[in-house]
Amino acid sequence: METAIEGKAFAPSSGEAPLLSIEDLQVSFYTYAGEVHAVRGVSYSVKKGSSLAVVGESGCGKTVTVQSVMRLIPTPPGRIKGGRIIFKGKDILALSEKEMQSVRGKEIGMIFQDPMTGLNPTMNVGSQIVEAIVKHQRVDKATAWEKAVKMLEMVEIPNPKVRALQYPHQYSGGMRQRAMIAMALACEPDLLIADEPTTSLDVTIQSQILDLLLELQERLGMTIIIITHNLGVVARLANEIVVMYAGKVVEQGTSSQIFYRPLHPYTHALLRSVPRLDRKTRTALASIPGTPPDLFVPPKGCAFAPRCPRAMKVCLEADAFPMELEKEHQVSCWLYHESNPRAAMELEKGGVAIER
Amino acid sequence: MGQAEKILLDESPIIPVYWPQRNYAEHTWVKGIVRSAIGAQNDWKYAWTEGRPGGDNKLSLNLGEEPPDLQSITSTDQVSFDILNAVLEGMARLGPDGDFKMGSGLAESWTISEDGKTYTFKLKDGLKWSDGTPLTAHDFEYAWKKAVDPRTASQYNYMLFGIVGAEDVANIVIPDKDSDPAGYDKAISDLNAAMDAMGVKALDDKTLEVNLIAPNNVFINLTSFATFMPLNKAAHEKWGEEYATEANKMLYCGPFIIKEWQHDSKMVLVKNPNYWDADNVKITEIKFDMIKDINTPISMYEANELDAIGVPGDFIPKFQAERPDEFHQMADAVAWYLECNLEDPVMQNAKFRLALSEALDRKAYCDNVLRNFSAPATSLTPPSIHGATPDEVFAEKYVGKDYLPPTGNPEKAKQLLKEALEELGYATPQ
Amino acid sequence: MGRYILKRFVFMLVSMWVIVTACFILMNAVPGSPFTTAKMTPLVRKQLEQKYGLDKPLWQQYVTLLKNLLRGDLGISIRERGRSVNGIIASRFPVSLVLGTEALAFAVTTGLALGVIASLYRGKTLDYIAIIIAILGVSVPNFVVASVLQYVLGAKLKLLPIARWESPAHHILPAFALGLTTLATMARMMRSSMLEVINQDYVRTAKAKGLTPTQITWRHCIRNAILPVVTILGPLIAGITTGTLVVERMFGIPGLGRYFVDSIYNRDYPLIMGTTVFYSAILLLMTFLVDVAYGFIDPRIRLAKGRAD
Ligand SMILES: Nc1ncnc2c1ncn2[C@@H]1O[C@H](COP(=O)(O)OP(=O)(O)O)[C@@H](O)[C@H]1O
Ligand SMILES: [Mg+2]
Repeated sequence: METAIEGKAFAPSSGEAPLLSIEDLQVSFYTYAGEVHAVRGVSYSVKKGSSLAVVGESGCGKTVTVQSVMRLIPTPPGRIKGGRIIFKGKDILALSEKEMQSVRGKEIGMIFQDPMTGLNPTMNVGSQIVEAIVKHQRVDKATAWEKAVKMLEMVEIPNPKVRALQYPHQYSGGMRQRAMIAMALACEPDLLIADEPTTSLDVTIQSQILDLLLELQERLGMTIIIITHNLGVVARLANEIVVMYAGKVVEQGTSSQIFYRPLHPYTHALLRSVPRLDRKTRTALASIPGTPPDLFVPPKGCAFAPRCPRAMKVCLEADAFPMELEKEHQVSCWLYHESNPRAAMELEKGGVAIER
Repeated sequence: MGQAEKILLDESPIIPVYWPQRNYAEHTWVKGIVRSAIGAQNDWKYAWTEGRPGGDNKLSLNLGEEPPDLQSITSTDQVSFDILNAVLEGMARLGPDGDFKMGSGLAESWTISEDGKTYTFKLKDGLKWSDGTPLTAHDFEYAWKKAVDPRTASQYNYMLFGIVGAEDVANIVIPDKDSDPAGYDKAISDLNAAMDAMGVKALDDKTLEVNLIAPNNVFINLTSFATFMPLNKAAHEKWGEEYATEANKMLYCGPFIIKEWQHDSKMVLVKNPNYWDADNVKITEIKFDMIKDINTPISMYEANELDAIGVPGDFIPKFQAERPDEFHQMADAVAWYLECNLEDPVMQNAKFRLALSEALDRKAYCDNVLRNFSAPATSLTPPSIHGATPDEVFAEKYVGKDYLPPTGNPEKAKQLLKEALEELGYATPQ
Repeated sequence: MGRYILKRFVFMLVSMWVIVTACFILMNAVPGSPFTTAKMTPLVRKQLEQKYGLDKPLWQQYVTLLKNLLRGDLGISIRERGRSVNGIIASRFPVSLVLGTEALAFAVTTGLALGVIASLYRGKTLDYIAIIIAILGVSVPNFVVASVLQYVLGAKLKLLPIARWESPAHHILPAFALGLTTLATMARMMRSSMLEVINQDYVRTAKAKGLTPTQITWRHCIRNAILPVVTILGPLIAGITTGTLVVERMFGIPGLGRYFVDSIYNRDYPLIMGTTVFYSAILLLMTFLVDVAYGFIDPRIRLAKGRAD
């Protein structure tokens, strides 16, 4: 288990436009019980060559956000109600289904959480990779197959020639995730979205997969969005972090900003819930008391307020908006609003909160 | 005969239930089909059509099922009888006016001896089988003897038992050839002797002499029955067990021949050019379907795909209302009855059986269950069978009108049941 | 796999023997004989029984039966005098087979297509149409459907022949009537199977690869959704085979199906035994083949079985 909490080197911010930017995305699911406001105005962006981690409790809308980028939201019941998703200068939400097909797999690759069910059980693994290659590249079947074997080799599957002919049930969980990665990378996408790629795997396998992703990112110079619960993963992989809560982004910044100067009380709490071995005195692992809000009727104030130890009156009345408190570091919290007389002090404190 | 029937009804080994009604529909262009209450039900020899869609003088009919046995001497069923009557012919044939005229069949004439026991048939000139071989009196002799031959095991052999020596032939038991060769040889020689002694003899190619045990004023009628139809020895022996199992494995001598026989599907009869009366046969082709279902033929009839059909009970009101000119009814000379299992000790008790018979509300059954104008059977012999004269109803005259109660007699049935149970030793609780 | 097949084959033979024995026992346990209903002298009855070997003790009849069956001889029909049961089956079964195959082909293809379409248009008009067809197909007996079709399409509109077995046009209504129940069952099963598969993760994976909906439907959805449907094909084929007797009867089709029932009414022992043996053999074979086929379609089963050997 990765434990050291250290920020990645801060990615040099150039003036160029981000590879992907999500602007005020709103997604709802219309169920029999009512409208689930799953994503309520999420904005974040990722620069080319950067790796962005999205963290947050289960159900906060991480998956829905990235699946919106791929336009994989099942419709119905889901519907993208508003916002824009600009990828390489074009608005993904405005593309036709047909145009979208050449984005998926070719320009954006995606790895899903559960490799056990993510592969078609009645098709051999090789063919499933070949499918993606043939779809986007003008190659014949044989070449595609060769490439598929090469991809399997790249993701360090032993004996790839034989393995390509095998079916998913003959693969172990880790191998399946490797195969999924091979499939997602087969067409050399500009952006790889990995939605909790290691969550369902054994601990040892988890770190192997992460090593693999790290290595591939370095080798291929890929842009990655990784969703994870595992802050250890975040620390190793990401140079930017987005913290989400109840369908909104509550804080975002560089890895070191978030780790060393977490501002939002939720980020604090999240970081406290991570076991640390570098500490001399063992503090109890803090879980966050309370439960996330009901997304059928989202609160009008800050969604975290009911659980927040620092909540103020205003927090229950109105939701905070994102405030850029330092370069590239934004937080949506009234504590830091200029109307709060202690805002400056809070900002000062924020950075050391984790040492408490 | 009346006495015999009364005994039968009193003892009730069989319990008559109803006399069926034949309900049929026939398009108005169909003319002259002779329908009979006994034997072959439909005779197409005298039929013709006027203004039939799809061409005149053809018929399209539903046989209902595959004819199970077209070997005349063993055949027992109605479907086969209709076909046999069309493709073969006996000494006489039932005419449109309801009687068996001299010259109506293969016999040109016949004489009956004074004592009524000897019939001498003279065949028509130039009779031929469908393969061109001459049809002779020997073909009758062969058929009639074969019909009672125990090796044939013909179920209707008793139809010929009025002929001198016929029953003797039928009664010869032939042991298994392998296990008892001597007994077998003896039986065969006995059989040959008995056959020689049997009262049917071809005096020459055109004369057949028949000796009856007793006078029988319906014997001529009987000769039109399938079992009495001629059989060509050479052909019969040639095809053996397979005789009449295919259209080309039998010979014909009636108004029609079987041109095509697709088992269980269809049969096509065409006019027989070798038939002695071919000039007067107008129908050139009869196409039969073998559809057992009762609804399908109705649709086919309505679409003019069938020229005539039987109308099942459910459809009678519809036909009466919508096609009154086409709907017809006639009484069949048939009685449907319950047959008691006389191997059962309880059923062996006559009073018990009679109690069942008296308990039956036959009329309610006919009116509510059958609903096809069938009549409650108050005796075994149906009213369509006449006595000594055509206008006298046999059952009414000799058995008694309503000998069995049409609506049942519960009181009598209860009394009989009580007595039966006492006789059987089942104590009746008081 | 080889040993597995061999084992199944032996099992099939044993089943066959059990069926023959049961059929023989039942046939003889039921009161009456082929000649009970007919009126004839006792002597003729004995002669007939002798002719068909029914005068022998039962055990002897049984032994003879088994011997003949081993030689592939099903005997001579009693009701259809002079015709061998082998001959009857040989001439009638091809008709039933053609009808059954047509019905099955129609039912399976249309049923699967209907199920797929319904699932793809879930909750839309096409889905409701498919559901209605499926409900009708399952709940309305085929003889009712056949009657209505005969009357409307045949007698009234004169679009198709009412009955008979002649031109290809004569095959349409009976094949439809015969296949409808199967079609409905297939459609229903395929629809629910598809709906289940459509929500599977691997379908999302396929979509994320950029495949077109058509590719996803064919390669990923149908292929997986069809598996559970294949397993019920065996019983469905059985349904079609036994269903032919009604349809054959209604349309006057010279198939073997109607013999299956008629032979029992007629107490035609050799024909009862013959058709039973024949149909059982087919059904056993079908189940066996479906089993093997299933193994081939689903690699998980194929390998599991391979390993079990
Ligand atoms: N198909 C769906 N139907 C209804 N609600 C959904 C559906 N998919 C996701 N949601 C809801 O959207 C919210 C966000 O889900 P998700 O993005 O999967 O969370 P996570 O952050 O754990 O990935 C959850 O409250 C979930 O209940
Ligand atoms: Mg998720």
